[in-house]
Amino acid sequence: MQHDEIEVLYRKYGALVHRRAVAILGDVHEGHDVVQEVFVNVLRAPDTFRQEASPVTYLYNAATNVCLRRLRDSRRRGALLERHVSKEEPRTDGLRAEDAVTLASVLRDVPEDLREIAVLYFVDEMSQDEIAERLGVARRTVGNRLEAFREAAQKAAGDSHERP
Amino acid sequence: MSGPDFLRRREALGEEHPSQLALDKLRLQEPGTDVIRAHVDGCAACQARLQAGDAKDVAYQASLFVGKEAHAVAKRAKAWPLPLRAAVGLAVAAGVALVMVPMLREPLQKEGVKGNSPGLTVYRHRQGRVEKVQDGEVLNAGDALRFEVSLPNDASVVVLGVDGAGAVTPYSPLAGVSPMRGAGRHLLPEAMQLDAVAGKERVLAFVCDKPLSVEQAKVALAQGGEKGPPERDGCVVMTRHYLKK
Ligand SMILES: [Zn+2]
Repeated sequence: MQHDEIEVLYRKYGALVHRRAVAILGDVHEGHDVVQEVFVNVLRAPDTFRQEASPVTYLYNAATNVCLRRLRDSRRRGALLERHVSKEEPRTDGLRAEDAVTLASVLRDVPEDLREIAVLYFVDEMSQDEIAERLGVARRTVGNRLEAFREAAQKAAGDSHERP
Repeated sequence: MSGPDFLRRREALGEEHPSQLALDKLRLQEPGTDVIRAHVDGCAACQARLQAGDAKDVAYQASLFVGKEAHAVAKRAKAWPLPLRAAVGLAVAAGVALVMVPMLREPLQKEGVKGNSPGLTVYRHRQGRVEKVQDGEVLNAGDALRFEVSLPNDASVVVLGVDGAGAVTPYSPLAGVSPMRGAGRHLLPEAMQLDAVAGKERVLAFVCDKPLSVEQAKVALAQGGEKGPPERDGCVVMTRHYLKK
């Protein structure tokens, strides 16, 4: 892939990848890292990308995968509670800080198998039917897993509020 | 119901609205988005969702040019593994972010907005220098352009570039709907680095009193052909002509 081509892609799609990464991870700077990583992946498989009927769908999936892997890694490193969002840093994601941190910390806290479905529903705002089709499961399964996520999220949010 | 806000937001939206994925396909003009367009045109909630995303994207584009962020990006560019540094890293550091840092330090026009007409100033960054570009000037491949508009009233601004072959490139915003900006001077957040295609280059700035999308500006441009876009209520179009070598 030519320098020019990747730059055009970056300019066209960078903001979209960044916006989603921030919504999932709750951190503007980590969002930049995700953008870089996603575009490195595009560089490594340029033909796959060029043949995509929908570059937007491709980049959504790529961003989700990178973000979910980062959530797993950060958990493994025990970075769960060390994260902080500096008040001086301007937030460019438009979410209130508490909202983003809660979503991000909740995603880190819930069982791994509930994260993807939570991203599809709460971040991507897909309907439950769309999620069922996308994951190849029954609609009822989607409802059940979202319910499980809600419970885990409320517990995680409650726990973190009790911490000093 | 208790728990974090975001748990309720999705449910409150209802199942009938398109997903963010669908809205992004629309925003980036992928084929097959007519149904989504039809829904959004008749749905205030989804128009608001689309605009909220646009605002974040504009903020992201702008953040790339703000000194601190640009330095962070550049620093990371140096630390990146080779494939990235060779392509994306350089694109960001040299082509977009770093180039723009000195531009922001240069004094922009000091005077306020004159009269009742909007104004357009084009700046060029070439080899470390920032200059105002006059109409009819010769531009070089690799020049980076930025645009400053002066607005007598609140307005939405879309800037398009048309090269000698007639190819249209959105300069600002890159896609979607341009947000309303208040009266006064605004340095638009995007920068455009010129490619190597030689020939005539036109820059058109659409200034409208209602939010205007890149798509709408392109349609107006196409309708006008060589003469330029037709006059439309509530919109002013400013055109600059350059020669690119
Ligand atoms: Zn809607």
